[in-house]
Amino acid sequence: MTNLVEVNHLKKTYGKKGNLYTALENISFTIEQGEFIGIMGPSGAGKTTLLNILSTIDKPTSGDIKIGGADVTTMKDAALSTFRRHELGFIFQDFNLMDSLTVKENILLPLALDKQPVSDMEGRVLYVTKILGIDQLLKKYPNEISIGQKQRVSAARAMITKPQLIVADEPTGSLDSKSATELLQYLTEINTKEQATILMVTHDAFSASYCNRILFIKDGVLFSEIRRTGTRKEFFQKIIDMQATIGGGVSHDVI
Amino acid sequence: MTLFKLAYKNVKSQFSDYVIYFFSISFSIMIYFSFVSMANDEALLAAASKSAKLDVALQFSGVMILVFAVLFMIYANNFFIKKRKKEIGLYNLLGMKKLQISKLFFMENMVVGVVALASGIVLGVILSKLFMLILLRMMQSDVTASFSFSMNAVFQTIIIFVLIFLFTSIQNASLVYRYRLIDLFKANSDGNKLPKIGFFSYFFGILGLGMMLFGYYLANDFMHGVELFHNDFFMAAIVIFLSTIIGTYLFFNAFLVVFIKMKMKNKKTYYRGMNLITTSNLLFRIKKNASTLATIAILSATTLSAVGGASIVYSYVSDQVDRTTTYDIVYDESNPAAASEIAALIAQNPDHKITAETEISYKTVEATTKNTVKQGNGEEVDDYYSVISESDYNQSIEKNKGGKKVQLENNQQTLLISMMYSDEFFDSPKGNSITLKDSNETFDIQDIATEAPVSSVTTYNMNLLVVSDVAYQKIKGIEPEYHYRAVNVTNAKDMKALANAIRKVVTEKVSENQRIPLQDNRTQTTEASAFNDATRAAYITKYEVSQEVFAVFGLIMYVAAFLGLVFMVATGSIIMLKQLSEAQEEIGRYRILKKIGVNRKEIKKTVYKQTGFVFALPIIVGITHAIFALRLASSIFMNPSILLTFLACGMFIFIYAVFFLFTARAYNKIVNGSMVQS
Ligand SMILES: Nc1ncnc2c1ncn2[C@@H]1O[C@H](COP(=O)(O)OP(=O)(O)O)[C@@H](O)[C@H]1O
Ligand SMILES: [Mg+2]
Repeated sequence: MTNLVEVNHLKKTYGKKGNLYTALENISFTIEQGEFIGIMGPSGAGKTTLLNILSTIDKPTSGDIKIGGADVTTMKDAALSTFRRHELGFIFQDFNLMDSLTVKENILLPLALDKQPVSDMEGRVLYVTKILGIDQLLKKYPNEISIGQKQRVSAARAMITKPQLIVADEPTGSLDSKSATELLQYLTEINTKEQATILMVTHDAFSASYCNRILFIKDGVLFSEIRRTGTRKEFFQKIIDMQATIGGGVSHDVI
Repeated sequence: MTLFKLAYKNVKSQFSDYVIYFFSISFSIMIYFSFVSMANDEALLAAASKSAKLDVALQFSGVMILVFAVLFMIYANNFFIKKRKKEIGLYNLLGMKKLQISKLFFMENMVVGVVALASGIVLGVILSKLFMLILLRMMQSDVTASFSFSMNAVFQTIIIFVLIFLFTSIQNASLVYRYRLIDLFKANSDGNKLPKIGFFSYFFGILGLGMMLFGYYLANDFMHGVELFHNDFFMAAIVIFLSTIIGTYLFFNAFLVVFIKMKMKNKKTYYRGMNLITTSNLLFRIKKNASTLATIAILSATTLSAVGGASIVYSYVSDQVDRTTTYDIVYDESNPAAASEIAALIAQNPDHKITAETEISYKTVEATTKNTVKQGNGEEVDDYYSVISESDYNQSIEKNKGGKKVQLENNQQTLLISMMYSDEFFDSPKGNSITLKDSNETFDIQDIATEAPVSSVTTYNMNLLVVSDVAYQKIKGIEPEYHYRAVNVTNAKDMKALANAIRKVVTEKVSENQRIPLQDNRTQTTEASAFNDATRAAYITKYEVSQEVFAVFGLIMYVAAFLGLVFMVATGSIIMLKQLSEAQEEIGRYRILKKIGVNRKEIKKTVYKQTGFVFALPIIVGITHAIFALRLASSIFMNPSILLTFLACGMFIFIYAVFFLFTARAYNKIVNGSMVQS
């Protein structure tokens, strides 16, 4: 397996001199092609910060990140926009759909921005929405569908460009447990069917149990890492145990 | 932290919002103060009081400005307070007492108000002299503007605006008592429902466009339009107004929505780059603001029409002075003593050299001809005319190097001179006959001219007939024949001293009353014509005619321009405020876009495009309305030069464009910031 993402000695501080706050300190890890990787940690650990930097939304204070061999920490603003459009797909906790666009328009937006032929776009939309079971909703507006459906629309938009990496920040955070389970199953399907590499931030052990591997961070540093070997149930138990070891801020009653 | 400090901090943190509010209020105060100052300026009033009711006009404008300012301030204030409901909620949660919050909001508004008042007055003091100069220039007055600071104006301005600020402050202060906490948090979350279009949208869309076009059609050929309403002018005007206004509302509410929706059907363009965002956002914004945009379209149409209309009237009057008074000095030679003294005054004046001189004689007759007013019934009408001979006429034209000479075909032909004639409202009288009442002699109208040979007030402001010298000899007038001398001089625009000297001679030697009524020899009575007061001036200087006319119309133009200015600034501020508050609501959307790979340049472009459309649509509709209104006005006023109209309207559109640029810039700054939420 090749490494899709390489993170080296990442550091992020907030604030000015005299009032510096270190959100991330000396983080290094790699993600392999086709992995479904989770990032866990207590609230305020720096998960979102890490994800933002990985997805080029925020800049690190020092350290570097290579995605598909390209060093994204040295890219210029315009190049980064194009990079994000082509190589990254985003799923957010609060969906981040454009409420002025229909479901279909929301999903094909990244392709439209690339000025692709209409027939290609529509074919691709049909394909991804079939996978995610939202092909009946194309004409609706975001405020006309359920939140579970919204998150699947958001997932469809993330995968429509066949990105190298899909990043998801607490994608199940706003969902009820049934929709959350559905979404996780769909993500697993995307991961296996489309060979999409997925990076998911979560603080919820149940969601995390769908991943192949989990990185734990605490107070801005990489604390440990566990890999799924057996069943999902066993993996879930391992996650719970690790959370207990880390302690703080994470509830156990999520399942 | 004291309440005052908190209030101060609040104003500072919301500075960018306040700038617009503050600027607009200061501007209104500044203009108001200037008008009140001018109304209190003794020197100005004394100088202009001859013919124009300057103080009344200035006070009236002041009141109008006040009305605008108050409406605008209440609107803007409501707008701000809506934005800040959440803040009130937050203070409440943090444990501030309602009374404290109330005091805070009261104080904040008063702080802004007092600062705006102070800067408005200071600016007003500085600029009122400039405004006065502009006014005097428009009135073509040679009074020098003295600068006198009016304490009275300061007090008046302070008292009125402090009262207004008290009112809005109390409104703000009472807000916290008027809502429940939960309502305060919901302030900005109005449902972003997307417009669905059905049969009615199409129907009203087409209807709206149709009504606007119908209004244009009627206005474009007004005289023809009037025929559709059985020659009822008033009815036709009402229909044009209603049709255009209702049409405008439907246009924005239905037509544009349908139009954009149709454009979205073309996927090849719609699914291309940022079009997806630009178009859908535009649809959203237009739907949300349709009525505001329509109102702005109508208000700007009104402003442009008023300012443009005033310019047209001003240009018309200016043309009319040139048409009716073609020589610089015209005087009656029937009083030899006065005439020779006037001739000496002119000849001896070192500042003005004579450049042309002519004599003209006329007789007054009563005559009948067909009324050629369009849509009139063409009946024969009886009126007085002044008759002049062909050689006198041609000589006066030739010496003056202007006007239209005539070559009468025979002794039965005549040239009709009517300074009110226009193709638009009259059928050409060419070929019609005119019959003198007493002699029963008939002339055929060979041609028509619109310029007086020397000046119309010396010939009773009547229409004139030019007949051959032979025919002229035979005509017996109802009055004695009058002989006038007409002179052109150099530097005629600055002949105040000479004009005054002549006036003095005339007053002493001829009569106190410088307008002499028509004396009918046949009845020995003094008569008035159907169309004018039938008095004749014994002498006239173009300088005085201009002075009198421009004192009135310069003032009208000035008032229209300044009212328009206040209006335009208020309109611009309102759209600006609305747009910027929407920008605040759209930060999230643009953040999403940036995350999924839209770069800053693309966002900037779409922001400018959308804001551009929102600004441009109402002004384009407004301009189109105004064009039709002004074309009509222009035709009524004999198509005067439209340069001034262009300048005036252009200035307003420029101000509006500046508002657009500021708004787009600020909008971009708001939504095109950091991607990371802090
Ligand atoms: N823009 C910012 N400015 C200053 N501090 C920040 C900013 N974003 C995050 N932080 C701080 O960095 C730490 C990590 O935040 P975050 O990555 O959001 O944690 P989480 O793991 O809950 O997602 C927190 O203490 C947070 O307060
Ligand atoms: Mg987070």
